[in-house]
Amino acid sequence: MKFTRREFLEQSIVLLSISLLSKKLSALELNKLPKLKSGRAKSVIEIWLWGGPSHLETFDPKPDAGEDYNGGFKAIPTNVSGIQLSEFLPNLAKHADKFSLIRSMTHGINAHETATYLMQTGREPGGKVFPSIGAVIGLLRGYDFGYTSKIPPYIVLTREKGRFSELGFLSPKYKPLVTGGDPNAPIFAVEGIINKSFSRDQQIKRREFLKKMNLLSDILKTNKEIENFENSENEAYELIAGSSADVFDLSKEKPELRDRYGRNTFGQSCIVARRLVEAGVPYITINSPGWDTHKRHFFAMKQKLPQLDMGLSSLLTDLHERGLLNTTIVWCCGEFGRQPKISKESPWNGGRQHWGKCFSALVAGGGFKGGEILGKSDARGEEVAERPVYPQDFLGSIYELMGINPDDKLPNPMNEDIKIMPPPSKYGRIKELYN
Amino acid sequence: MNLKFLFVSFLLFLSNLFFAFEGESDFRPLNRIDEIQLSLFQKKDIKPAKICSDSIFIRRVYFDLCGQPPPYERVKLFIEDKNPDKRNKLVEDLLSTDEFAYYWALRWGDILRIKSEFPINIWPNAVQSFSYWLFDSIRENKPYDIFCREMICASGSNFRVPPVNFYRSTPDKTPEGIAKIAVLAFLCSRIEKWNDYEKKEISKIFSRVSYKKTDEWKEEIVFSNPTPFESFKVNMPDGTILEMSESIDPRIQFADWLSGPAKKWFAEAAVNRIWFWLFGRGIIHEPDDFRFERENSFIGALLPGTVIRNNNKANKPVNPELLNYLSDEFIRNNYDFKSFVKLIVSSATYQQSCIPTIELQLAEKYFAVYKVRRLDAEIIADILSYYSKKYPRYVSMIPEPFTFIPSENPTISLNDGSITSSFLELFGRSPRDSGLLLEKNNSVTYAQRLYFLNSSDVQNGLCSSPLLKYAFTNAGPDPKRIIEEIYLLYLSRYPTQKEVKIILEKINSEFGEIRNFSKKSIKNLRPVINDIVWALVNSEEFIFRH
Repeated sequence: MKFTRREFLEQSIVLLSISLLSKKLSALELNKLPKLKSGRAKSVIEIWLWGGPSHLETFDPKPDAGEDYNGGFKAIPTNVSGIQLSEFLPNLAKHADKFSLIRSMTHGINAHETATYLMQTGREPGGKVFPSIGAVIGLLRGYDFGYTSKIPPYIVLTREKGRFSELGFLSPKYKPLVTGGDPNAPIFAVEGIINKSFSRDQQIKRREFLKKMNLLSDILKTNKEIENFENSENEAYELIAGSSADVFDLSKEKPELRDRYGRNTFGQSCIVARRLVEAGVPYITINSPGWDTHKRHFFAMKQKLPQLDMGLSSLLTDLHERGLLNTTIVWCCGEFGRQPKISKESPWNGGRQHWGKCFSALVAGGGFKGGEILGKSDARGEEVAERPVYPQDFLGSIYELMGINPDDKLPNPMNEDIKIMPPPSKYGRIKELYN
Repeated sequence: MNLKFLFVSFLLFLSNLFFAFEGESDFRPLNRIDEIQLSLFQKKDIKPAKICSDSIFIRRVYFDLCGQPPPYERVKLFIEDKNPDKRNKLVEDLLSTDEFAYYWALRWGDILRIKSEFPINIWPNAVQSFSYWLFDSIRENKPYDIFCREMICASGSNFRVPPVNFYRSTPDKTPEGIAKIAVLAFLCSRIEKWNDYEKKEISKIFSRVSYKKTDEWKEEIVFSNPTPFESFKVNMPDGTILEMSESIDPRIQFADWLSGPAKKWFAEAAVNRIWFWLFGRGIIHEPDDFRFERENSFIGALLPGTVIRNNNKANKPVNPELLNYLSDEFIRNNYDFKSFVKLIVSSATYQQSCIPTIELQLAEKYFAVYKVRRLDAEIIADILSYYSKKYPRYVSMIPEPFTFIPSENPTISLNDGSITSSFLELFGRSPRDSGLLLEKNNSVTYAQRLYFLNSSDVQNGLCSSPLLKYAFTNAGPDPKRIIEEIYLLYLSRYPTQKEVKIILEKINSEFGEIRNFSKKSIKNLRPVINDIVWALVNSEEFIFRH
């Protein structure tokens, strides 16, 4: 066999890159994940407070900052000494040992889209559009990697974020199932899955009729698109007419427990999330809208915070009582916080503007410690005073606790060498909170 | 009435499974495209598919040209029309509709990445001006070379000179970043696959493109900035050397090069992309992955205009003669876009049925069959609105003044990639990030099947369409006629004998033998009708181009 000079060059380049690559691979293997006492998390529940919740009225109260900042609202003690919460969160205050707070989240961006993108992907915008953490975990813990449940691996309750594409460059196969419907309604009509007008038997009968009627598939049996259509239909029917859909049936829960979570869309979404965790779903997002309170901020807080307080505290205690909290990460945050100085002038009349410089997040379970505070804001909650936490470090930690190395390659349709997360900032991932 | 009924029954009696898709005639050349194809077929010993029936044709051209379902009334008139030239007449009609311009502007909007924000920041005002320019260009059939030149040479305000937004439709506004989108849009080539020397050379074309802000909010001026005041040369990929004097705008030279020395490549890229849009596959495939190789990149030894295609198989035209003819024809006809579409659509090659006579993959590769494929997300949204008479709501990522879409505007007229709905996302509309054709994802997922099989939208909107009532009135009391009207309404064709039989059996099993329907019994029949319609809209035929 004879090589031309050019072929020889090409060959040697290939060999060289293979040897470099294998070195790189072994380096990756050495870069092991941090050890955890409690074992790895199996599921994540993301509670997304869409619009940017005020950190002052939630996890970082500033009772001494004066009325121009705290609006006259107080802080209350919790069951962990030294930790205070906003007076709007009395139920969570009883269970501060089950979660930890980060009071030094920061990225400095005050625009919803860019901030959401940062908080969901850990990346600066520009160039490729990356998938959200939910879509990535749905992929890495999904059907390509041994997940077999009929319920899709990534579920969104009850509406998508809307201003943000979850998928980035991934194929639509990894799109979350967005439930639609309202879990607080008498029947939680999950869009496409639970249909109030047909019983399971009727569904099966209809399907038989459909099979008889499908002319094109009779003729074009070898067509890949037709084949894909049929396969997708089979999958769909496993949800429509199989027992998997029971996971969305809240009539199977005790009414007292449902009361505890709060009889509202958010509270009942939390209980559905717990049921999905029990069914082995790796990633669940609850999108709670309405936190973009430029105007009438305190009026909105009085409405929204009691629901968040009941739903989230019941979710944490319920997961804990069922022994699921150790293997389930719960995180609660928005794309940014809100401006500590209240905008009293017209047209805001007591509102708060966007604030990306400093805000708070809650993490619980799945290997995160409880009863801890990480980082600190200044006296008014305007700037990070200690231990800044950047989005890529925050999300990188969730991957680590899920047993996913954030430095590994992210499977992608372009087959490019893309890492799951960009490298951590100099402050590092939030290992201080690992169990 | 009775005679007509007898005639229809006779037809149904003759019908077999294929009746629904094929006409009686075999493949027979209608224009030069077909002659070229036929000689390829003979060489490769391929038997092309039969010509499709009238019902299939009208449904197909409505979707392919206008992105709209064919109106029920028009389908019937078309099928009954005895004029032998009716197909060409229909195509003429469709080419002059606004829907045609909307739909092709949508396709162009995908590859020009027209969206208000993230990661591309065109901003709402400029998105509107750019899209209206695009829509008008297509509607008035602006010659393709001029259409491209207007974008390439544009200078001025993003609000007042719409095509300058071409230069703002990328997050990377360096000369290299602009070269990337220009090469993709005008040469259908991916600059990532060019060598460093070639990349560097072509990027020089855009080295003078500059941007400046004005006092108006979000206004930006794109202009050619001649500093540093130096002349330079650009070695183009075909070997042409462009000389740039100190003060020239190099983009003008680039446009001249495209319609001059490089016109063959420029035209091939354009016609191949249009071919892809109509056939679901390019003569060169992927259609936006033209590759070339020069013997010596540093000298440019080739004659200007000669580009040697890479040996890579995936990149060769399956029928070089065809591509050659089409591009010559396009150039000869002064880049007349609508005539070119008409040329393709009036060919027998385009009018083949979707039923292959040879192995499917082979037939699709050589265009010996019409390739079935799922309709675009936007078209499916318009189908839903057509039947339900309910109109979708859209949301935008950013607070913008143009989110409200009046109900008379179809979804295909949606011109901003930032304005969207969960429906469009579910069905894989293009995110308009990269400008690659494969960004639009028309594959079927289980979630889409769930939506069609079991969602309230489909149940309440599609299956109990107000148009059904109209169809019943047309049908009269005969159950067979009712079935026919339902088929015409939803699938634009008459049912086959087998289909009529299955449905009558279903009706009879649920209601006992019924010969005549009164208005009252139609009401009782509603659940069965619902089931029938539901089955039709859930058949592949309903949401696939075929």
